[in-house]
Amino acid sequence: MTPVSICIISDLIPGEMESTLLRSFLKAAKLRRWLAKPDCPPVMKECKVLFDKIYLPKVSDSDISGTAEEDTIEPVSAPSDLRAFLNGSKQVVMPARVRHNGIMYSTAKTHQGNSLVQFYPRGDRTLSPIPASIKHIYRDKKKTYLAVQCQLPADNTVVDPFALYPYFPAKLYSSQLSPTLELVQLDWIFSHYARWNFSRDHSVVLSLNRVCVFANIFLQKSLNLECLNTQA
Amino acid sequence: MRRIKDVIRDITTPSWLESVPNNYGDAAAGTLKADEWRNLSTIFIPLALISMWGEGTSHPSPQDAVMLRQILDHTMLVVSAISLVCMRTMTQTRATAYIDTMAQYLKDLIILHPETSYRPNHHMSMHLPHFLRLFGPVRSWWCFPFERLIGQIQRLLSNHKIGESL
Repeated sequence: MTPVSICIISDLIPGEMESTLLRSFLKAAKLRRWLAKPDCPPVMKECKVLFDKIYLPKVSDSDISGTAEEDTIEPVSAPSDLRAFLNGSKQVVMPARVRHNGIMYSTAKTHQGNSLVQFYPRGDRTLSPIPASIKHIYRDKKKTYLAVQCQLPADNTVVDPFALYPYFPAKLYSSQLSPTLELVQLDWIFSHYARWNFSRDHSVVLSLNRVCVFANIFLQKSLNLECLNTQA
Repeated sequence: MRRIKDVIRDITTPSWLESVPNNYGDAAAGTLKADEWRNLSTIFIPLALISMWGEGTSHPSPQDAVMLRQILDHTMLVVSAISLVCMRTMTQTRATAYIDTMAQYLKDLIILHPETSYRPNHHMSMHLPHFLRLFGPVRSWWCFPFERLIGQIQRLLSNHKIGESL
């Protein structure tokens, strides 16, 4: 029998059980907040490591660090499309997924949804992020890289019905991916995106970034809108 | 409705995004959680509606086209407002954009749907920018942690007789 149900049976005073629950809930919340704060003493930080081990959902070590698994992966013969990036080496370590800042990124073969990322071209944060699907993940000199296929732009002839809504970060692209691979570093990633096949030839790309969605995409959208307005 | 189900079924999303049951709308699907409602209203429904009623779609009569487009644009106002207010970082510009969008939505609501009337929630939504300015992003002060506690209490077994011994 769990402590909670014992409490129900033995409780004779109305509301006491609820107030115990409320208090423990608040205490747990306060404790979590304290442990997460930077001024929390190192000794308590040590406890946090233990708490995390006990209470966090079980994730394999490789998922947490993104390196443990890769250290044990045997190098494989590099696929022909990846060789251009490898400076002649024919063997390469290719994990199926990698965790960066707590988010899981996979190759399209492993998990299509986790392979859809928007990235800043060449890491330049002043440019609009480009949507792409991760084809390969590989390690080179202790650093992880993504080889991605970008989502091709939609034809100019098609009207983008999503462009009219500036606070809905969706844009029409071609359903096709670029046949050539592009090299992306993990730090260049802007966010994941959702993709839906809008028609036979076109897909809609919806950014899932909930922090700074509007920064660049909308600048471009509003510029496009201005063009439309001036044309009208 | 069918289009919304198509979107839910066919969309490709990362694994962290909480999806909605494929049979959403059927009695068997049950009721949605708050996070599922949010994803439904800011991802699945707008994609479905824009694809059916947005720019470039065809309709049996021009009147239908105009009416559906008005309803879509109106719905997109509330979608935009939800997306804006749920952002994890808040700025004065975003708070202002939220109130402008929400005010326009409420203004058009009784014009497009004359049978409706304003509810207390509509009134309260106008106060959110004050709280955004005072307390920052909604995640730090929304009621979901308390809702979770209520959920825990609700799930406890009880005989609905408070204070009686067994």
